Amino acid sequence: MEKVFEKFLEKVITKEDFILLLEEINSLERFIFKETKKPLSEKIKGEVREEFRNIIEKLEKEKIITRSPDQQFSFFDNFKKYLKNIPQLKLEIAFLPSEEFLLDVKNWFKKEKNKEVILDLTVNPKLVAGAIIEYEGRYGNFSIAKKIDELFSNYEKF
Amino acid sequence: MNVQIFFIISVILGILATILIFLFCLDIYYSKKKIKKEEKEGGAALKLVQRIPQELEKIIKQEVAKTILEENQKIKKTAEELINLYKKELANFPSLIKEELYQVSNIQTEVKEKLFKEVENTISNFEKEIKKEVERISQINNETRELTIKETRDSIDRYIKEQLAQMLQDVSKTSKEIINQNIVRTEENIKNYEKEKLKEIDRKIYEILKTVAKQTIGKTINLSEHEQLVMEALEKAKKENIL
Repeated sequence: MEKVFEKFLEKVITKEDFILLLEEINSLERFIFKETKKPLSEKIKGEVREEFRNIIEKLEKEKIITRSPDQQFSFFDNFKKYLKNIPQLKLEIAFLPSEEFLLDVKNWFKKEKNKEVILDLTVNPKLVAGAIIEYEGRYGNFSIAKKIDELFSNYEKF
Repeated sequence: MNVQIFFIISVILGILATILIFLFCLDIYYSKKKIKKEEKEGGAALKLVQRIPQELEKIIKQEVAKTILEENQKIKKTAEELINLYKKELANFPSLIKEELYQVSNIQTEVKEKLFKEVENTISNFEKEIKKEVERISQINNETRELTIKETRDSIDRYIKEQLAQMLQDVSKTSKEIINQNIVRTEENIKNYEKEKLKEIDRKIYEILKTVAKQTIGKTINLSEHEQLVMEALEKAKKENIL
């Protein structure tokens, strides 16, 4: 089932993407028990992003998501539980990154740690370059600003 | 004055005559008593003899009465003369008194004037003496006062000078100590201030340099270098077990 859920997460990189996905699931759940004869993908047309709706339609065709409202509800309930367990990587950087770069970061993490990650991104030009990284309670400042401060603090000692 | 003496002498003579008469009568009385006694003892021969004292007594009585009368007359006369003299004298007495009084008054006036003069002179002399004495005392007093004032002033001046000198010495000493302490403290404060200011300036310089360095480096780094540095940071985080 994780592989199915990962399909939804292919374009979910940042925390904003993640919140949007949760909102779309919550919107979708309101239609599960309405007009049960209609496929879910049809019922949510115009209510969610088309990209999200296409993934659901594809899963309906693959019979992963059935017509049963209970099964649908159970599927999305499990999906939400899965989403809640995805770790967040706090990343503070000095520039406004491209989506490709963020995807590269996400893929690097997936490759290194073999699991999904949500990037909680902050842009702070004062870092000059590099990044401040915080993950599961651990913290590391790898910014160029810190290196410059250290350099000058050594001079200040003299 | 003479009249008074004469009067007193006459009175005394009168009294003496009366005493003599009295003594004579007393003698006759005792003689008669003796004869009576002898008659009793002597008999009839004596009766004749006895008549003699009676006759004598009679004669004596007559003589005494005559003498007394004469004496009384004399005394009376003398008294009258004396009274007249006295009256005469008394008649003259006011004028005499007046004269005396006048003389006395003159004397008194003279004496008075003399006395006044004497008194005035004495008072004047006394006043002069007192004045002189007062002046002398006043002078002495002034001199003493001036001397005392001078001495007191000198003493106070000396005391004030000594005190002032002592105070100045103390103040000078204390001031020097305080000034030295303040100088040391101020020097320390200046040094600390200089250090603090230099540190602050250094800090500001470093802050400026840091800011300039960060801005310069930030501007020189391009997007791919940024991305590369982020990836390097992730690698480091992995190595440091942050990821």
